[in-house]
Amino acid sequence: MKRLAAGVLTTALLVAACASGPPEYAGVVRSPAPDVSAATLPDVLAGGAPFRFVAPEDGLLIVHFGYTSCPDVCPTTMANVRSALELLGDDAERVSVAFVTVDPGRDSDDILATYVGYFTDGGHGLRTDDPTELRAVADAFGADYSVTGTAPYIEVEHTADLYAVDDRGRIRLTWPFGTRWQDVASDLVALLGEEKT
Amino acid sequence: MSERTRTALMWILGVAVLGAGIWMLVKDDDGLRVTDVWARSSPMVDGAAAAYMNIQGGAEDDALVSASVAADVAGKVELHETRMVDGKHSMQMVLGIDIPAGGSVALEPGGYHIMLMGLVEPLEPGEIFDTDLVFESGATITVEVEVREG
Ligand SMILES: [Cu+2]
Repeated sequence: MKRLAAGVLTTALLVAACASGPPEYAGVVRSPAPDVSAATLPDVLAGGAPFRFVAPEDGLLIVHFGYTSCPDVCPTTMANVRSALELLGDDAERVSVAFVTVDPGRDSDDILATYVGYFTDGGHGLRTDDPTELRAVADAFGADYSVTGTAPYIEVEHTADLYAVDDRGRIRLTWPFGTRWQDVASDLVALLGEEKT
Repeated sequence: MSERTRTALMWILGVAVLGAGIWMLVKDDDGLRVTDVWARSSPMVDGAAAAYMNIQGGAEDDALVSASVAADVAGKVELHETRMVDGKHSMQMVLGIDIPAGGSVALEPGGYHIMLMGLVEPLEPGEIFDTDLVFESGATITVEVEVREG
């Protein structure tokens, strides 16, 4: 009887939580959630083994498209990810991070590995020489990029959003560039709470 | 006019001239103030880095037109602006950054930055290096850039 009462109470609380409406995120919820589970790219931090865009079970995968010689937008974004994960404490273990280079011509495996290692612990550095393969992955995320000109005057344009992918390979949130890292952190906490239930 | 009055007048005139001189010096700087100067540490040896700061305008409209660092810091320095076009971010070189009189302009991530290219060595957190800023009015200001964990 006691157990039943507790069960009823839990249900009541859940209903109350749901009645207050869907959670408010700083990130953008796209509908339907884009499915990126079919995409793979070689991971330079795993000896080039194919990496699938799927989070660890009950966890999240954070993805950013950029290039390592980007001095402004990319390191700002990656440093924000690092700050957000630091704030998460132990829960950060449930979040993995992947950086996809849109400039494989200049970002060698070694350069990319150093770069990703600088900003993350156990992150994934994704790189392909096959432009069709890279474009297909970017399309799945709704990301765009272009690399034009010849060295040393190379201009790179890229979508600077940050994505949170769940363990089924669905993009749950898209954070535009400029989202405060504290807001990214609280969105991650909310999403990880949902993943557990 | 007594000798004494004449001496007094000379003094007054002298002080006035001197005062004007000092005032000119201050005005030359135009009251510009630069604060919160920093750059993000960078993992790349031969890469680029961005420096950020806050510039408060003086009595007259002005513009930051160039910046430079010692050759042992970076090979080349440009003023850049990050822009978003069709959802994509990219950097463009700009010839000047307007600093309105009495206003304040932030050079910050996603906006304007001072672009350091051809870094001689990676920027390490805690490091400090000088950057000379040149303004359209002719004013020059040397600021210390603090490298922060990035
Ligand atoms: Cu730049």
